[in-house]
Amino acid sequence: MAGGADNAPALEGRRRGLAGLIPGSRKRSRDLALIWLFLAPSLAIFAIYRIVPLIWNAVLSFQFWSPYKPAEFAGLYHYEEMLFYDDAFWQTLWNTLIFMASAPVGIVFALAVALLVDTNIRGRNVYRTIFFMSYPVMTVAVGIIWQWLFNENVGLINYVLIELGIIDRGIPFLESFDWALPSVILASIWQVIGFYMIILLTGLQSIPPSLYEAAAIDGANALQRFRRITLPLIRPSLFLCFVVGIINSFTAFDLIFVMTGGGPGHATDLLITYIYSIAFRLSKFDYAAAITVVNFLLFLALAFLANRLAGGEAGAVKTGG
Amino acid sequence: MSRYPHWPIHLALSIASAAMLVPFYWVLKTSLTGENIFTFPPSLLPESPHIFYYVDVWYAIPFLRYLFNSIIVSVIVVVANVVLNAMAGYALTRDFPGKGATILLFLSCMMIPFQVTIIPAYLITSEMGLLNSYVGMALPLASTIVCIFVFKAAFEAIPKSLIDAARIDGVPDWMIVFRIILPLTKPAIATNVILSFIWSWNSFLWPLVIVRDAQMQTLPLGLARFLSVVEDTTGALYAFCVMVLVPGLIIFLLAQKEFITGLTSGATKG
Amino acid sequence: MGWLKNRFVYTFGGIALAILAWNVWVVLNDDGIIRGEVVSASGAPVEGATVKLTERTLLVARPRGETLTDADGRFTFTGHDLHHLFLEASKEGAGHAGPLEVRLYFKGENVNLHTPLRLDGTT
Repeated sequence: MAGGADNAPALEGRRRGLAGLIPGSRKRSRDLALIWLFLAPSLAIFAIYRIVPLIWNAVLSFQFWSPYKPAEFAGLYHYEEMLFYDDAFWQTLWNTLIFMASAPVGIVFALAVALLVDTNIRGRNVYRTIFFMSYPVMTVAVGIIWQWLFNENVGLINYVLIELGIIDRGIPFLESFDWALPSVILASIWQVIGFYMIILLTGLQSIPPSLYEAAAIDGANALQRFRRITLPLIRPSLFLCFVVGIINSFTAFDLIFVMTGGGPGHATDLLITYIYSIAFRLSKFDYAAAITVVNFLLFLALAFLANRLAGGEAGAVKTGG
Repeated sequence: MSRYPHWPIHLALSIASAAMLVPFYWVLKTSLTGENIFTFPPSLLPESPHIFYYVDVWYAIPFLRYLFNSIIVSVIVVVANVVLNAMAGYALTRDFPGKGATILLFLSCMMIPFQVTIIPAYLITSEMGLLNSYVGMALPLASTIVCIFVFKAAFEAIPKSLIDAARIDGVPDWMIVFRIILPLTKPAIATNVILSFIWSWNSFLWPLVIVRDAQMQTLPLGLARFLSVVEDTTGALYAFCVMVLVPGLIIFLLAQKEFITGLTSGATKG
Repeated sequence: MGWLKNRFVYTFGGIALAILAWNVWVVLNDDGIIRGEVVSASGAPVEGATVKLTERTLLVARPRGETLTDADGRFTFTGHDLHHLFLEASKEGAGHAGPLEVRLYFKGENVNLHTPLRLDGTT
């Protein structure tokens, strides 16, 4: 804080410290300096790692450039290549959308679990812990575990399916073009479901019990209560879950990288993993930048859409806190 | 509420819990026996468990080095987050010209996922000479907008009269900070510590991009590298998995309540 | 000192104590001595049998030494720094034994093999 450096203006310094401003131009300008000093480090970090890169990225996407070559204007070259000649791009885009569309499956399960642990049964805190535990753990390790669960010869999932008589011999889940993406999605849902549950639980707990009591007196059955009271009131939480799902589909790099590396072919490549391999494996930074631009625009559009659907409640930031 | 029997709920929740816990159990079991690599069908309980896969891993990789790197990066990120976000959050509670624009700037930065800036961010980091360094790994995570707003809300919730009263009593500023403001913003600090810890501890893509030096690898990088180097030693791989998971799980189980409130407030604000 | 009484201090303090105790144990027991015995198919101690020590790591196996048994059939390796090893014994006319896998909890742990290496009597 400002005060206390030397004795004479100490009192004044204290006054400046935390409460509202006292009129007076010298104090005022010192205060302003302090405010901007406090803001500066955060602003600098966001400038360096968010704003400048975003602009640079956009510029890069219109250039021919590689680390040891001077930049050259490329116009729409990369975009043309991407949109008209790169099948892998379309596949990764499609995969990303499928990945995103799978979010409701997880949310429905999470809602069921949240409704169950919201009852007053014993041990509900233990259940909550168990469900939530998979979320904060390291995704790389989760990927390794699931890679093994899906293994063709010794994986647990194949074993269970064979024992149940559903299949005759093991399915090479992660090596198969048909199964790889659903398998990766399942692992991803497993990890994020606890987070959905906690969000929904917070929504459920904010519903005043008097509403249910009143409805029960009016003779509404459980299903009606759920449809008329619970669902509308947890709408913001549900949409927040969708937003988390959308973000997840754009950022689920770790799991894919470890489990399949995007393969077989590009069957499990998402935009983000595709961008990574184009940029950091093939060193085609300029082309990767163009894909990144599309990725970002898509993200913006979906975030905007989710925000609109939620009536500006989820995904929107409550600036007032 | 308890007019209906509880056992169906317990049954459903137990089945679902089992689905959540089986992967953890299985990795632990395999790390202790290694049997599943060769035995089919797998047995449910570990047969003759031993910890020698852990010994193998311990000597095969610089585990302590990875752990140390991870801890250093996380500590930098957590400390930087608490300090910088508290500063920025406090500044935003004051009135100053450009406040609206600053808030707008923060909000729009929030709409830029770090993943879409990764290529230029890499180039910038490389220009700054921060490749293969702790600071380079920590810097992009050193301040988070969500947490700035969490702090802002916490500061705004402190009654001004409390501070004024203390000031009239002649309580020095540093004491106001430590005796009044810190205790009242404790939940915000906890949220911030938890969120930034999770993000930095689990962070994978960014270190993967900027770290080439084996000595600077963090735990997730070390694990991914181990996966690509040794493919047949499954027992050891799972032992490594467990060793990587345990520190995070210990911290999660110790600070569960803070984790859950922290993540939800982080999510609802973001 | 009340602030010290919380679950974080207990947990991490406990872990630190366990690590300390383990390291003390390691320091006291890491002279790298392997003792064992070679017996014939009938169970009598064998003198002059060759015992081979092979190192095993995750990736490779390589020979790390040889010794002969004494009059009581006993052998000793000193100063090893291994944590996963194989022992093999053989003697002309008395046959072959092993390889016996030995896994240790840390490098250079002292071991006394309780089961002798039993030569199979083939020539």
